[in-house]
Amino acid sequence: MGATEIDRPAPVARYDASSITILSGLDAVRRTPSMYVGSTGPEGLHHLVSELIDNAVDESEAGYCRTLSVVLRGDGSCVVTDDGRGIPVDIHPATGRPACEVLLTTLHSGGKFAGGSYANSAGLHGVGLSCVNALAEWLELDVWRDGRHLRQSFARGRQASELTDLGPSDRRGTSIAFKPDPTVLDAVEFSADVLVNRLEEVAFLHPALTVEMRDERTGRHVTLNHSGGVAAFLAHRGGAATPVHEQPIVISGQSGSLVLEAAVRWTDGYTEDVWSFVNTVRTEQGGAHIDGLRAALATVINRHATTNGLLEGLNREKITTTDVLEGLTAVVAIRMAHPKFDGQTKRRLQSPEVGSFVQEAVQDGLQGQFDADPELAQRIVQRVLDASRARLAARLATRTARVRQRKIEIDYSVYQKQFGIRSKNWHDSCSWLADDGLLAQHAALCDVPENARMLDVCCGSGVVGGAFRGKVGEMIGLDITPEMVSLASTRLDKVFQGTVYDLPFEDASFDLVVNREVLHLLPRPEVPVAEIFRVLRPGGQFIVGQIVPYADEDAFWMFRIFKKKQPLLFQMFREEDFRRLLLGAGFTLDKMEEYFLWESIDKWIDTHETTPEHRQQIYRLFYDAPPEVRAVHPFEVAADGSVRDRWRWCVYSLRKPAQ
Amino acid sequence: MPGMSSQLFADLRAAFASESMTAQRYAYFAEIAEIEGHLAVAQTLRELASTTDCVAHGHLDLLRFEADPSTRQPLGDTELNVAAALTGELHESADLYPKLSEHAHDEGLADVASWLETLTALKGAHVTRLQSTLAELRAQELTGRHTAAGTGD
Repeated sequence: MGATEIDRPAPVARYDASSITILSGLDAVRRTPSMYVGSTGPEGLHHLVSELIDNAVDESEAGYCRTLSVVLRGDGSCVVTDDGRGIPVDIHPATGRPACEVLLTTLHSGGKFAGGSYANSAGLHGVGLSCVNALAEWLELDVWRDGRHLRQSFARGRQASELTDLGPSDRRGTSIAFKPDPTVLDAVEFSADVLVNRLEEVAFLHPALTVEMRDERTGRHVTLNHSGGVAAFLAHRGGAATPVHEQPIVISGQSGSLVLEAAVRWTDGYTEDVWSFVNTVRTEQGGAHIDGLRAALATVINRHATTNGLLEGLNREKITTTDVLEGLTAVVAIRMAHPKFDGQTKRRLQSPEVGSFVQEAVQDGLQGQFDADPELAQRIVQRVLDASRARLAARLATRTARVRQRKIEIDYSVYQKQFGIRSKNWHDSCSWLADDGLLAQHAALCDVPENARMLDVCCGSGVVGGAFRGKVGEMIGLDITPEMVSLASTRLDKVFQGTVYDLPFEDASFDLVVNREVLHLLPRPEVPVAEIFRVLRPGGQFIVGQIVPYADEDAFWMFRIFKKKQPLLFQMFREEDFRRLLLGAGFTLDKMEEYFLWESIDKWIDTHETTPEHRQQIYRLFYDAPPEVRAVHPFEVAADGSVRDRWRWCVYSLRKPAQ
Repeated sequence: MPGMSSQLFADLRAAFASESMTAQRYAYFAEIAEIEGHLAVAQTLRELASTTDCVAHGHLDLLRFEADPSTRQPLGDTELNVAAALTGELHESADLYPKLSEHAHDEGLADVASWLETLTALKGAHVTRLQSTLAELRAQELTGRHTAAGTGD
């Protein structure tokens, strides 16, 4: 047997010299699927369906397809059907095989490669259909074209039956059913949510297309048909944050074959949500079009702020392209011929000409709207200036606290400002603040008489102290910011405004002091711990919770993340550091309990304390975490880039020794 | 390779340190450029960083025959290299970072001190890891020698 015949599967009929090349092409896809579809996990799996969807989208763009349906079947397969022209079935002159078979079994054989068939194509550089076929355990193709219904079957990228004519039909279109191959893919279970998300994008960007999704596993059925374009898409995806201006700003532009449709709207949230597309394929990592958008927004906003004398408070600094991102929601859709991408999966657009085109179009568009509506301009510029000020304040927060520190003096106003602003939506700012399990963990350690007098130090909203209701007699709180004092007053009996460095209470005046996740924000934590020791009566209890690293290997990494999140971070205590701090004040340790809590990092860093640049750096610290960190510290990065971190809480119960 | 003068070694060592620093600076600048949306600049900086990595390794090609530019220990095969790495981590964990964090405390920079303390801990963990790596390496070598002696004679 010749070397070229070794890989040949038994049922395959006729093969000629050219088909050897074809086979080795798809074998390469099966050997390293990630190179072609991004990964062998959920992302890669859904990419296969996207590829089929994109083919229908191309037909719609060309004006031939009006409906698209995706069905998830109970057997784990997926069917994508459109009413386009139908994949060509005539004999391909070079190979003598049906064109559809060549398309499905040959790498780089799409109509998109030949040029001329589609002006702007969505699919994976033409490797698409054959990649899906290569990674499918089986694939069945139905084509309705020229009054006939034809069918052909494939298995693992190879032809499994001849193209069969099933008789006459007045229908038109293509249907591909396939089952992902578990021997080459790690993930084979489709997520209806992921697909509905993608189909929503398709429906918004293609008003002429009616899109349907049916999940036979659950009975879910969705039909989508949207005529509102990018503005409606933005309003739909906009999220919970309050918009700064009600109507999204719509900008469009055209230059030759380049077409831009964009909608932008700022919100009072902190994170940015930008959905960008090139020929309706999502570019998750942005690229030239997004750079152009940001540069244009910064230019127009800077120009407006300068002309109106609004930059004075910024100390001669300018609004940056990062400042305009804070609270920005945007949809940017580009149509163009021959886009260039970073890598196969189209996550980042590289075509440099697009950057200047988008920048110019957005500059003109936004300037026009600013001129027409000065009130709108004012609101947006003020919103962006807030971000610039927050960036400068974050830089100052560290500097001021440091300078003061040399004089052994704390600038309390920095803390008041940082935490005062946060009192708005306090409990929404992260999961741990109001996590019942964590609060219960603190309360369960309570071991004081029923009539005990309790102090919640740096009480914030008072939830920690509040968790002790029924276990103690009197609940007192203390916080530095007036906003928090009034918030905590709804949960505690009496709340004082004051500082933890100098507690406004008598010696030995409490039976219990509680505190959570505060001491790391203080340059000299030993002073407040000594103050807590002082106000406790002998035999009194101190319950304190703190987030700590898992090991020596992740402490430095957590320091970087936490410092970027909150510039007022002064300590990254390891468990032994924290214990030493507490015992050093004279406390004895009753018990320490660990509590593990999954925190959404996206939510945690959606705050004024974290600048947009820091937010991006925090994501990168997770995405590029060193293996030594990953080995000890569990966290998860989802397909959409969002992050969940499993925090290690240590909750200590301590005693001031009885005299 | 003929030995080089101590002056040339010192200068080459300084060049190695500078190039290593350059590679790190450029990689860091590239990340900021990327975040600011200057993708083309980021790419330039990454490419320069990658070339600079190669240059720094070129310096090491020459320096390794003299001594480890960091610890002045001899370099050569993996066992020697790991021993030099261990010496470096020991210095960092026992001397460099404890002193630096003390210094930061003296200046009242609590956050800088805390950062340096996390590094004292990290380097301590690296010492432990490299110690066992070296021990395994030596054990393997011993076993290997025994086997070779057994089969050879």
